[in-house]
Amino acid sequence: MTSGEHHASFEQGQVSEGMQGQIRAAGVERRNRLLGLPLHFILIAPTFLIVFGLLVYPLGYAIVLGFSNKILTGSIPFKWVGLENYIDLLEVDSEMWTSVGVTLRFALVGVFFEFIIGLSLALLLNREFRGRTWLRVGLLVPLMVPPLASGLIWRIIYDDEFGVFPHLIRTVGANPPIFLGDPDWALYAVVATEVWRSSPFMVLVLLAALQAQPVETIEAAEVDGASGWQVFRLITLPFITPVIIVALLFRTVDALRTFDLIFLLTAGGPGTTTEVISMFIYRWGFRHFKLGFTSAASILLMIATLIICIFYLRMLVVRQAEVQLTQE
Amino acid sequence: MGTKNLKRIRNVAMVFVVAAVWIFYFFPIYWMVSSSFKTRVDAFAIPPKWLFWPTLQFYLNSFTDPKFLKVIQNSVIITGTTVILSLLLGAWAAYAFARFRFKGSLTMSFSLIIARMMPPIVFIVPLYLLFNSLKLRNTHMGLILVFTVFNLPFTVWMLKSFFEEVPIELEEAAWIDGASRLQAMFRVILPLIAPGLAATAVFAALLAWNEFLFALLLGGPDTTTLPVFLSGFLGERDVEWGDIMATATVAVLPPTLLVMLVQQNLIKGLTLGAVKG
Repeated sequence: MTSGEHHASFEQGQVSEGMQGQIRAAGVERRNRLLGLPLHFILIAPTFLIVFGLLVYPLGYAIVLGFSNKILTGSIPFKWVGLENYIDLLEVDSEMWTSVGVTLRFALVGVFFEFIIGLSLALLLNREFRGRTWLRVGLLVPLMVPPLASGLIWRIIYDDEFGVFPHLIRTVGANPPIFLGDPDWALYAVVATEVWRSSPFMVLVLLAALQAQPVETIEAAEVDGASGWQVFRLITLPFITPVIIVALLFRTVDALRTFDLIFLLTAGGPGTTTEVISMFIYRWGFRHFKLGFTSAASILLMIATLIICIFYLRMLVVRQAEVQLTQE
Repeated sequence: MGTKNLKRIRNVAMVFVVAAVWIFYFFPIYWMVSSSFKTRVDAFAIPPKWLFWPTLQFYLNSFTDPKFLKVIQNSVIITGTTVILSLLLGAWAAYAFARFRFKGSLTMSFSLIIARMMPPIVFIVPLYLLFNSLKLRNTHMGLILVFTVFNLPFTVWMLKSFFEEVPIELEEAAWIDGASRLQAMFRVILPLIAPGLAATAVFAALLAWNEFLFALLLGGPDTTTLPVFLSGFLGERDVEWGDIMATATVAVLPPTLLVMLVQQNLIKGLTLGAVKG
């Protein structure tokens, strides 16, 4: 049947009910196929082809490489080394554990402050007050700055000779540390930059959640005499918890990805005090060219990321199930 | 009387809070832009200068430097092509996920989320070797492919949520008028979600414009993008802050304009449907 006939029969409306059903089914069947293949298959194929070629295949390659001593340049002959790379990486006081410690401190301290700032500003922006729009626009500013450029900006602000920040501290009469060069301070200086860059994300996401909240429930609670704190703790907080979990997940995983900012601000130094896991992998791969070792480290990072994702997603699912139960 | 005073105090406090937030978020940007207009002497003045005669010297330096112009050209070509490719492929896949229920559709769409979560550094070693053997290193094509792949998971999910907002009845009406699925998608659905498409395009553009790791390690002298160019200043001795900050300002400007354009749809992209499910 050609599409013209199909079209005509619908328009004339003269076909019996049963036949119409058949024709519709035939139309759907044809509509959902292209070149003899299911349409959805053709639509998805290009995406999955290049995702497979450039993500899945390389991952498989990395798994294989992780069992070898492959180096980029040099004279060491290629050889399979079994689990040696993993054993070196996971040894009790290996450099990787130092780096994991740095990454955890970077992520936890950073996400903690982002969350505190994010929630307070979101609660503030959720009320009516003069200057609200201004505050909102101001928040968008750091979101537009590439991580790399923000690294450069803060480097100049922190500069111990000419920077504004140490200067301001000197004017108050205190003696500023060399922020990016002092092992005790460098990581926190980097975290501050990250908080500057990422807390607006937290604000916007939490604000969106707050505004999705139905006004009626809050009004009802207020009529029943609930205090502001009670409304927040018993109504608002449970309502936005799923969003909080997702936002924390995003930020934690993003912290694991951090590379640009640290590359620019400290390049992992002084020593290895700010060497997050991405910098660690970069150093072994592209400074020491030990690709086999680096691949093994990449695989470990991948597994860690997967575990975090699953952990958070499960939390989210359990949470939603609870909400549904209480509503029933 | 008491409540009036309380209100006034609250208003004043609010002004302070707004000002503090503004200074915290805006000052670094102000410092970047102002440093790009400072002469060398002013830039290295102790204490730092708040008032100074602006100079355009560093912008003139940059925009008369053929190397810099080539870098901008690279960034524009790579970002533009990446956006077009990711939207095209992303829209097809997103439509399929939004409108078809098929075996493995959930697994496939969730595997895209996991791909979005993976730290890019995980892929760098195998990609580096792969690009070397395929002669894709230091080519525009290579960077465009990698940027597109890392954009796709996010593009697909964002577009999927836009497609799902359009009632299926609109499409069915078009089918009855004789349109095929693809015709209905291009002529009916895509115009309807144009704002969503624009927002998605902006996000894809931001990601590609700002990408650094792959541009640094998989690119080369022929493909130097703005972020890579910026990072190159660090290795130089006698760094001119004016030059760095002028270049950084140029790098920040296009994203800023783009974000301003799609402010409304920004939150949707950031949360990737986390808020509305």
